Amino acid sequence: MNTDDSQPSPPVDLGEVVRVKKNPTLWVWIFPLLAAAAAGWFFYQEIESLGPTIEVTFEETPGIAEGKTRLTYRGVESGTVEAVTLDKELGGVVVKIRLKKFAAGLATRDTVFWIERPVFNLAEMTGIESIVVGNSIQASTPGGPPRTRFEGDSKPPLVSLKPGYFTVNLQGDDVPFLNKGAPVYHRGIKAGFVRSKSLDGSGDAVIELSLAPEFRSTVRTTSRFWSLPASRFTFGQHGFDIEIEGIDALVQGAISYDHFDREGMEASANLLFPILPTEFSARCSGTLLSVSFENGQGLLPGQTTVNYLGHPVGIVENVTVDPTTSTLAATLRLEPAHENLARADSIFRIVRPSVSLDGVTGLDTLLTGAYIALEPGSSDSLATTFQGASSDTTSAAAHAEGGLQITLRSDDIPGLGKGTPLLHKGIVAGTVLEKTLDPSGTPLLRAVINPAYQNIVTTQTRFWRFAATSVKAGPGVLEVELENLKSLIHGGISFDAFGAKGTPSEPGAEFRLYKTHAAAKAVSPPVRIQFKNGRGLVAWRTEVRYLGVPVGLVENVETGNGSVTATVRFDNGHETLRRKGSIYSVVRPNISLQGITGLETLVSGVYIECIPGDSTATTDFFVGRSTIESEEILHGGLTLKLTAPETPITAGAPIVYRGITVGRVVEKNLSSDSRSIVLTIIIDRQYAHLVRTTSRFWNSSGLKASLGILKFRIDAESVVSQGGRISLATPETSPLAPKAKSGASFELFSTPEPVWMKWNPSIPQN
Amino acid sequence: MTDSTRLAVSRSLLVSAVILYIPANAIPVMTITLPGQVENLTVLGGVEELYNSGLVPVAGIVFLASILVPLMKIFALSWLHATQGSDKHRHARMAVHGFLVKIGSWAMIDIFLLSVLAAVGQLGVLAGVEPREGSIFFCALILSTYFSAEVYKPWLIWQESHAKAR
Repeated sequence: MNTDDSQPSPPVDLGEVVRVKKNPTLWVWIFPLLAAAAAGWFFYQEIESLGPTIEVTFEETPGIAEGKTRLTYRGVESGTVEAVTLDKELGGVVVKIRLKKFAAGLATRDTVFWIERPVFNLAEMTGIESIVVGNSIQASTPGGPPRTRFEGDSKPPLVSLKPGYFTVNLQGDDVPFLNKGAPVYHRGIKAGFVRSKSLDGSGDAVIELSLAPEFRSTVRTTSRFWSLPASRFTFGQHGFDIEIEGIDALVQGAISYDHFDREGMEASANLLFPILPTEFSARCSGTLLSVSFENGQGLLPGQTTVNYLGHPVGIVENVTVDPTTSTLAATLRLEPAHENLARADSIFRIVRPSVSLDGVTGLDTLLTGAYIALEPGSSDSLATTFQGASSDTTSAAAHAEGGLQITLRSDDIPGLGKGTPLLHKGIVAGTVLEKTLDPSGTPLLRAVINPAYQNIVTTQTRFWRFAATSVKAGPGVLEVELENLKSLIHGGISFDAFGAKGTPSEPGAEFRLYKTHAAAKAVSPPVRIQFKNGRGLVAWRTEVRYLGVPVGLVENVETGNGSVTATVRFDNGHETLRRKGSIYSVVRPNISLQGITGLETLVSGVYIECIPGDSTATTDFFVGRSTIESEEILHGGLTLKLTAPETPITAGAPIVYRGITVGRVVEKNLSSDSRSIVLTIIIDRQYAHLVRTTSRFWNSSGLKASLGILKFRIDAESVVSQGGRISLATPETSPLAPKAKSGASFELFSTPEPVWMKWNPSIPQN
Repeated sequence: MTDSTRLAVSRSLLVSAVILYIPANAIPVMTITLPGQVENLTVLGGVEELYNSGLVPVAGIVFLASILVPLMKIFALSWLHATQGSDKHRHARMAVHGFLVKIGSWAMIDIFLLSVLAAVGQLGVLAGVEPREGSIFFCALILSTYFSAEVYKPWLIWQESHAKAR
C-alpha cells in the first residue's frame, strides 16, 4: 500500500460486499426437528388412542398382570389393564382397565366382563388362545348408557349375548346326562344349546333351550324333542352299532328335534314340549293306544317296539298295572303313517323267545328283547283300546286238549316252565303246561302228553330232566352234550320206563321228576352199604361201577353209629350185585409212594366199585371195604396172620420177597388176648406159592446202612415204604415145606437172622 | 465440509440424540410372546429380562452398550461441544473423542440382538419376538450419537475459538 499510492490507481474492483450468511449451517437443525416431530407424533398417537378408564371388580383375578393383560372384545385388543388392586374390604379385586378409544363404547351399562382362561374338560375346551397369549379379560356388550364401574364374572357367560335367540322349554320326567351348553340339533344341524336345567314346581325337570333365530320356523306345535345320549351302543342281530352324534355331544349329550314333516303352527314362545327318550319314540307321535296284557313280561316303556311285518311302527310309552282287572295296560303310540293299522280287530301280540311243540319262535327277541307284533285286522274302523295276546298262550292250550295230563313233582325245578318239551327217546311227546306250587309248597309241573304218545306213559315210567347242555369229563373223555336247540333255552324233561312193564297211566297221575338220567334209570330196590368213611359220597351223584361201568347211583348218604350208610339203586339187570359176599369199596384218588391209584376220580368224583359175590343168596345190606382190601380179595390172594409183640408196621405196608412186592399188610389189630399185635397180610395169588410153612417174616423197614472198608451202602428202599416193610424168606429144604394155608399164623421177627438172607430156594410156580 | 459445518452438524445431531433418548427408552423395543404371556419390553426391560433369565454377562453387555454408552456419549459430546474453542483439557478431550469413536458402533448391539431374536424367535405359538416402534427410535438415537461423534474431528479440539482467532 506504500508505492502504488502516487499513481492514479485504476479503479479496483473491490467487489461487492455481500452479506455473508451468519450461520450457513442452519439446515443441520433439521435432525433435532425430525427427531422431536417423530417422538411427538408417536406420543400423541399413544395418548390419542387412549379411551376412558373403567373399573371392573372380580372375585379373583388369576393371571392378570398390570400393564400386560389385555381386554379383548370380539377378539380385538380393546384395552389394557392399568392397575390391579384389592378393594378396601379385601373382598375382591379391582381391575382398572384403560380402554382404547375405539372401544370406548364398552364402557356401557350392560357390558359383561369375564376372565378368559384355558378350560379343559371333556365337555369343552375353551380359552385355548389364553395358553398362547395369557389370560385375558373378555367383554361382551349389548350396549346401553355409559358406565365405568362393573362387576366381573369369573366364568364366561354361557350365552353369547346374540340378539334374536329364542327360548323353548322342554319338560320331562328325567333328563339324563344333559348339561348346560349341550347342543340342540335339528336334522343334524346345530340349532342352539341348552341354556338351563332346573326343576319346576311339580318336580319335573325343565330344560330351557336357546335356539338361533333362523331356526324359529323349524319349531312347530308338532315338533317332538328327544334326547340324544352322549353315545349310543346298540347290540343286535346285525352286530354292534355305535352312534355318536358329534364330538361335543359325545360327552354332554344333546337334544334333537324335528317335526317329521307333520305341518303344524309355528310354535308360540314359551310353549312347553315334552322330552322323549329316543328318536323313535319321538317319531311315534300317533294317538295313544291302550292294550291290556295278561302278562307283560319283557315290556319296557320307551324301548319295546310295536312291529308290523317285522318293521317297527310304534313304541310302548308306558306300562301300568290295572288293579281292578289285574292286567297290564300298555299305552303305545304308532307312527302317524301307520296309525291306520290300529283297526278295531287288530291283534297285538307280545313276542318273546319261546320253545314249544311248534318249535322255537321269537328267537330274535333274545337279542332285541320282547316286542309287540301287530297283526292288523280287516275292519275299517279304528280303535284305541285292544286286548293283547301273548305268543305262547296259543299253542300250549291247543295241545292241552285231548292229551294225557300228568303231574310231575320235584323238590325244585329250576329252568323248567311253560313250554318245556317232554321227550321220549328224543321225540317230543308232550309239553309242560304250567308250573305251580301244591298246597304243601312243593313245586309241581302240569304237563300234557300228546295223544299219540299217551300209551308210552305207564305207571312205571320215570321222568327226569336234562340240562340244556351237559359236560361229561372223565379220563380220556370230554363230552359236551347239546340237546337240540329247543331245549337249549330251557332244558327239558325226558321220560322212559327202562323196560319195566306197567299199566298205562291214568290221566292226572303224579310222577316224580328225577334230577338226572342216571337217577331215573336206577330203578331197582335200594341196597344199603355201610362205610367207615363217607368222604366224597354225594347223593344223586356218586356212581356205582361194576368193572368200571356205571351200573347204579347213590341215592342217599346218611350217617349213624359212627359209620356212613349209602343207599344205592342199581339199574335194571344188575341183580348179581345183590349177592351175599359182594364187595363194595369207595375208590378215591390215592397218591402215595407206592403209586397213584384212582386218579380218574379226581375228575369224576369218587365212585363205589363193586365185585359180585359167588353166593346165590341175596341181601340188601353190605359192609363196604377199603380199596386195598377189595383188591386183594378180588385177586384171591393168600391171607395170613403175623404176630409180633410190637411193631411199627402199619396197614398198607408191602410184603417183599427178594425186593419184589408180593403182598400187603391189610390190617393191624391187637390179638384177642391183647398180648401181641396181629397183622393181617394178603399175599397175591401169583406169589402164594412162595410162602411155605417154614417161611420167615421180619421187619425190614428203617434205614439200613452197612459200613465196610470198601463199601458204604444205604438201603434206601425201605425208607420209601409207607408204614414200614416186611420181608419174607423161605428156607432151602428138599423137598420144600408145604404151602402155607390161608389163615395161617406166622411170627414177625424184628430183625432177620443172617442165614435167612442166604436162603435161595428154587420154588416152582405150582 | 468446513469445520464450522462439522461443528454444526455434530451439535444438531447431539441435540437430536438428546430428544430421541426419551422415546427410545420409554417405548417398547420388542414384543415377546411366550406361552401364557405377552410382554412388551423396553430397552431397560430387555436388560432386566436377560438378567432374570440368568444371562448376567449378556445383560451386563447390553446394559453397557445400550443404556450407559449412549448416555455417556451424550454427556461426553456435550462436554466436547461445551469446551469447543477452549484450550483447556485438550489431551483429555482427544482421549475422550478417540474413545467415543471406538465404542460408537458397539451401541448397536441391542439392535443386533433384536434383529437376531426377531429372525430366529419365530416359533409359532411357542414363542415369538416382534420389533416395536421403540427400536426405531433407539436406532435413530444410536445413529445420531454415532455420527455426532464421527463428524466431530479431533482437530476441532485444537481450533482456537472464533473470538480468539481474530
